[in-house]
Amino acid sequence: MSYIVPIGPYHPALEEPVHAKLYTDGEQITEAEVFIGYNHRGIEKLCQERNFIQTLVLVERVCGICSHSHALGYAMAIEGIMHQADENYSPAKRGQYIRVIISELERLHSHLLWIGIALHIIGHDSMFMHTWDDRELVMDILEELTGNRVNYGMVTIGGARRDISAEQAQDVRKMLDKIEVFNLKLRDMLLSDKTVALRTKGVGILTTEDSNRIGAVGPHARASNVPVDVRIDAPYICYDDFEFEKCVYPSCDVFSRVVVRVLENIESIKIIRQALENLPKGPINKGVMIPKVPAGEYMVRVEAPRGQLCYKVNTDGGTTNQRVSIHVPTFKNAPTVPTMLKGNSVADAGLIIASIDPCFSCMDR
Amino acid sequence: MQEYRKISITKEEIVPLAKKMRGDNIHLAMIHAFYKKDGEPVVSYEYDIAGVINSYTVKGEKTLPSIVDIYDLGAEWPEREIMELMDITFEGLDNSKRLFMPESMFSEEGHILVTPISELIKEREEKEGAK
Repeated sequence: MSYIVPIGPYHPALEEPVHAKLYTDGEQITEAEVFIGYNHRGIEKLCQERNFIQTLVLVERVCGICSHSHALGYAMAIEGIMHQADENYSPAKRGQYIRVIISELERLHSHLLWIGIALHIIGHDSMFMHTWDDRELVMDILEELTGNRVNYGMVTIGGARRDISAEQAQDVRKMLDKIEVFNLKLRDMLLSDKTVALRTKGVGILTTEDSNRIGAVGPHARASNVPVDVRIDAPYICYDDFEFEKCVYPSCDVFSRVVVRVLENIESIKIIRQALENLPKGPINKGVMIPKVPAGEYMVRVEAPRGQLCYKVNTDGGTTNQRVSIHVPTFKNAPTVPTMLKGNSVADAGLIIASIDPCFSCMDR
Repeated sequence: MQEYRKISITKEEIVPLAKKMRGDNIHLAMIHAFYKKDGEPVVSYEYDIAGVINSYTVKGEKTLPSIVDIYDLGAEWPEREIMELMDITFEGLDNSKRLFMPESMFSEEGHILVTPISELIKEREEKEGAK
């Protein structure tokens, strides 16, 4: 017997709206469609009405998880336009290191959040609580460094808005020691636990070929054995100063997506330690509140927690943006969902949709 | 700074270029479009070639060939987004339904990125008044 099973738009897996239509033959999904747009706020339109600093504040609100990545992407695009006009222009080095530290803390808490959700969906609630418990340590540090848990306001055009003191750096190191122990345990547990294996291995397969064809990005692509990572392939800010590895896993299923994220957490810890160790002295920004931005265009890519985040900005020498295009990782990864759902059971649909670590707030903008 | 190159192409070059890029397993990072102040449409295809963004730009064309057959859903969603937000269409794009906004929101001309906010508000008020 065939049925059409609607899922969502209210909280199909995560607390974000998306609608999926599953065409089924008995319990098996034969075809699937994904519908988005429940969270569209016209942010790109609003960017055309605001000056560069107002836009920085606005784009940080595209997403509640990777807010720093959005502000960073926009600031880098504006800095790129300024660099095209003046080759000597570059953001403050200490500010760049601070940007890296916040980016990696953001990745840590984002990955811990998603691993917790994945464990919750597969019914491993005790580990879900442990994971979120440790995520709180990262959130507390972000609050200590930035004054906020979500929209950090740490980026400005030309560097960072707040410095990191020696005492704060010490607190970050202490937190990293605790988080590292937990992440190593989590990795060992995930790789050996039968419950995790039974619910995730062979589920929601996205082959390397399909991933390349549709253009998946970030941990989702790396879990399909595609070695892409903007931090290494096209280093930005000062990522080429640090030693870390691309985390790729070959099994192309939900299990692979969980493993890649926990491995990335361990790499993020390495990066933050190196950045704190080598934090350069000097100013954190260029000391200009609202910069004069010449006419131009520039596109940047940032490795946000969910993958490649693109910002392309056009300016005409005036006080506002002519156009700001934001292409978020979920916009690239969500089209892979129908391919992953095919051939799986309806019971696994929620887990498979969640396995891309979707952010519909980002995608709808 | 990440490297960024801008290359001008014609409308006729879009499909052969996309085929070459797909054949070389080049990632299509983004399709970007906007209207210049003088009303000229600009569409650019941003390909990531060995870590460098190559921006192949077409100017002055409001109708372009679709590359969905080549880049599949990786091109379909960006093309649908541009069709919805701006008055630029893609020939051969089968699924031209709106991605973000309900079909009932704004008239056909109400492309949110090119219509001034005051006009969008006026249209919404007229619709609400009609109810």
